[in-house]
Amino acid sequence: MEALPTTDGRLDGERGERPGETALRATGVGRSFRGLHALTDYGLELRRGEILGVIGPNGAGKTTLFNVITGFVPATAGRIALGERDITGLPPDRIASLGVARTFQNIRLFGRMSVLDNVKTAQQLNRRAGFWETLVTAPTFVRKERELDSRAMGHLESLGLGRFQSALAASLPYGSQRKLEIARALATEPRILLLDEPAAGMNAQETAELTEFIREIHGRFGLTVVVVEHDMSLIMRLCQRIQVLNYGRVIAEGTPAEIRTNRTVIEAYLGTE
Amino acid sequence: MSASEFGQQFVNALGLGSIYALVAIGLAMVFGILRLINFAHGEVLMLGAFAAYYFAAAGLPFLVVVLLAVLTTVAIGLLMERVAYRGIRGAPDVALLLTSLAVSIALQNGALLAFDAQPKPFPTPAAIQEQLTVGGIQISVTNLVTVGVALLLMALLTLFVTRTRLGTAMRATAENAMAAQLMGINLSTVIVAAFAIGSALAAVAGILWGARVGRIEPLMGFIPVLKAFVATVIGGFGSIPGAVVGAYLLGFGEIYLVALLPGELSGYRDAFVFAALIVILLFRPQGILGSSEPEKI
Amino acid sequence: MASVPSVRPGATASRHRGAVPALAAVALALTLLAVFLAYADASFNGYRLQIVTLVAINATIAVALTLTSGFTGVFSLGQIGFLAIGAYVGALLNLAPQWKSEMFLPGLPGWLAAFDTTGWHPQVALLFACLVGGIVAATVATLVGMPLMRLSGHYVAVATMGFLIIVHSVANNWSGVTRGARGLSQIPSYTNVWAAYGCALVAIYAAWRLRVSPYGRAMIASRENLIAARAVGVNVHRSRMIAFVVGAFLTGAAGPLLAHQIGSVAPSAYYFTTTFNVVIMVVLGGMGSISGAVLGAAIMTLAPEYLRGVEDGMDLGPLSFGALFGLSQIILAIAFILVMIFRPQGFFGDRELGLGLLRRRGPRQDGDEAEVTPTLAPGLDVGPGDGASR
Repeated sequence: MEALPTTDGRLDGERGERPGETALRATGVGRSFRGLHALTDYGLELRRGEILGVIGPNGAGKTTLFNVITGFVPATAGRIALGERDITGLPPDRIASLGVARTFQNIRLFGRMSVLDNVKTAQQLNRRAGFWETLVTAPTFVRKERELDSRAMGHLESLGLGRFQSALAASLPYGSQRKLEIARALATEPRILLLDEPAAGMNAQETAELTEFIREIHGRFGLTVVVVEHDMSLIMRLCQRIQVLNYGRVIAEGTPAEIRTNRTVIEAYLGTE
Repeated sequence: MSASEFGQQFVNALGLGSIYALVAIGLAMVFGILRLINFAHGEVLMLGAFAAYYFAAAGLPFLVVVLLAVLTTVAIGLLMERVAYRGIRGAPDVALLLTSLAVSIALQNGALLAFDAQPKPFPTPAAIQEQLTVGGIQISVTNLVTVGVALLLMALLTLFVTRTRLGTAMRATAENAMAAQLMGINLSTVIVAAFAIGSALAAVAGILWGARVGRIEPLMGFIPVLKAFVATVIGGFGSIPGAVVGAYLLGFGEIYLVALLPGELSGYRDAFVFAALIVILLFRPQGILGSSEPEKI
Repeated sequence: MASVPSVRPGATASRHRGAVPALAAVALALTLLAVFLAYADASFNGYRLQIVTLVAINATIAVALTLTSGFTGVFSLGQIGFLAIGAYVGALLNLAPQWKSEMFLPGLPGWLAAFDTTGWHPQVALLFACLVGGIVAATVATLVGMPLMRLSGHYVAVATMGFLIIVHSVANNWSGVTRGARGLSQIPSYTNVWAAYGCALVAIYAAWRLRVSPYGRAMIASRENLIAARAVGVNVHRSRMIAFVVGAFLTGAAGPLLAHQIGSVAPSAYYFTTTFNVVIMVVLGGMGSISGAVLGAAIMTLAPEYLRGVEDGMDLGPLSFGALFGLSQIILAIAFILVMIFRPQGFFGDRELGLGLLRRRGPRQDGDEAEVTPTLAPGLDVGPGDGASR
């Protein structure tokens, strides 16, 4: 079991973080595109270890929210902090290295790389050989590559993708591509995982399996998860807390039970769609 | 720089800018529709000039020479599109760029074989070669004709793209090729029209260049197309009005740069032009007139 | 925790099982190469030996461009600018001081004008020139790449082309150092097949080691999907810079080899024609394939020699050398267009010769290979400043 993927004790690691503390705090976050407000005065206290659902009609600003958190789209207002650390304005790769991983609504794999290399590329974020080690193929390089190999394989196996390891990512069937994207995100060994419509294109049974899977990795890696999803069965079964966005604003927040009966939410869904 | 020298250079810059503009329009039109940076456009210009040279040698009147040269280059432009570019439509940007470089090199070397590397004197009609003196400023008729022809052609082009069905279709395709096709616009017709118009303008530019420089040679297309290309970058890739503005800016920049630089540095003219290009790409890649598009994630 | 599947025991072991036969194959190939080179060195005439040497020099440049552009998808048209820098540096270092003064190069600093390697062993002088040429090129690449590697798609192609034009312009006009369009001549002919092939092997080895390392994966990932690469923590600008600077170093190191082979350096030899030839080598072999680049370089160096026969067959009276040269350029350009239309992935696409053959002996994985047709540099169309590293 030595190659088991873990979060390296980060959970209780150097920062002394414990479940229940704030994993991510957004205050007054806004983003506008040429005067169009995609996100306005957004606030969030994401507690460590929770699973938060973000729902809302199309164009409500859900993906923009993910893009702002992960640094792909800089916020035009407000601050975002990861634990104690302010990450507003940091580039995406820095934010990823600080422990925020994400998947994409439209799958984004490294198509002409092997499945294993897709995961290794993410895995190497935390353990890679240096430049000269690489050039001279030092023993330390070989050791680090082997470790990457086995950890990446661990992630693939845990998602049932092991047998595809040397296939090109683009050649995988759709469902496996979605899983590979999740495996790749997990391989960065994140503290917070953002899933953008993970159940898109899946049938009811696949969605149910995915729901179980997310619950499992959440427990196993001590992850904090944010899910954007249209599939209410997944959201209602998975999330402890739900935020509802409409026109870039949070219009409701609460437990699944509260959201189900919230008048504003019902109006937003029935009124606009 | 004295006032009369300044005035002389002003007309000179207008003339140079006009030629760049005629070339740049063709580049921008094709780029707008195909995302292809057509380096072989310079060879179209060169072939236009050579066609005019040989038709003039046959003793035809100059206007007929121009007309025949235009028809020749239109045929060459369409052939180029059919043979080289149609097969790679939709390929990645860089594949398109490299293919156009290959077409350019094939045509250059073909011209070297056919016409010989030795420059040929361009048969500019004597009426255009004169110099006028207006208020102490010497003005070459060639420059005046160049500016006049360019403005006339640009006016005609504006009428074409705003008033005709095909012109509107071309604008729509440049705006959004996918949507235009869904609206029933035939992409091939639009592309053929872009190549035909671009080649015709390039032929005129080639003739005007020949008249300006006084001689023509197989590699003459290279520098004008590079400069026109810089002009389209200044104006924002694919924007026709932008390309025209960029062309005149470049014409003026170049002429006054050379006039102001000390003699030993004037050889670095192209280095300065391309350094400026790099700076623009870095700080305003959408060009001076263009607007940036946010990327969809 | 019991439900967590552990690593399949054989999974990683099998990936290293091919190491021994691969090593044997490499040793065999190197031995064969050495035997061939010894034979060529001893019995080929000067002209044929020069062609054999040029294959290696071109292979070095093509492999460097594969590293810079094939791995990262950032297409550089400025590669030959680095070759020119290396060639001029090598020439100025190793020209005999009395030649430097006879050619009248008033712009040279005193120490360089007096710098004398004539007493050195030729191979030491050559190696020194290669290292210095590579370092100077890499330094220039660092300065140029810092801003340019933020661009993508044809923006970067055009900007690097601008760099090439600037280098050319400087070489043409900085007469006090470069002697302008006439160029520098009387460069001692130090280059032999061993130096040229040694340099090519170093380039191949470096590119290959980077390819199978975290650096190579980061480069290819950013080519395949820029946004996903950044999302998994790849510093895209940094990995492009590594590719660009290492590629420039290798190209710059090849410059002195070329200068000491040809015997002269002139600006016209380092411009669009050469650039285009190297681009064809890389595209022909398959963007992103090191062995493809080597094969492309061999074909593109040897093909004109055979095409010369075609040119001689032309019954157009006494043809000048320029005309001769032109026909093979036309044929190559047309061949390139045909490749672009009918096989844009080149010979190998992304794959390597040899590795694939070895792998095929093992059991094939489900869904392996062949379903994806790799084309030239996909995923380039990200936009002007994709903010590769804001």
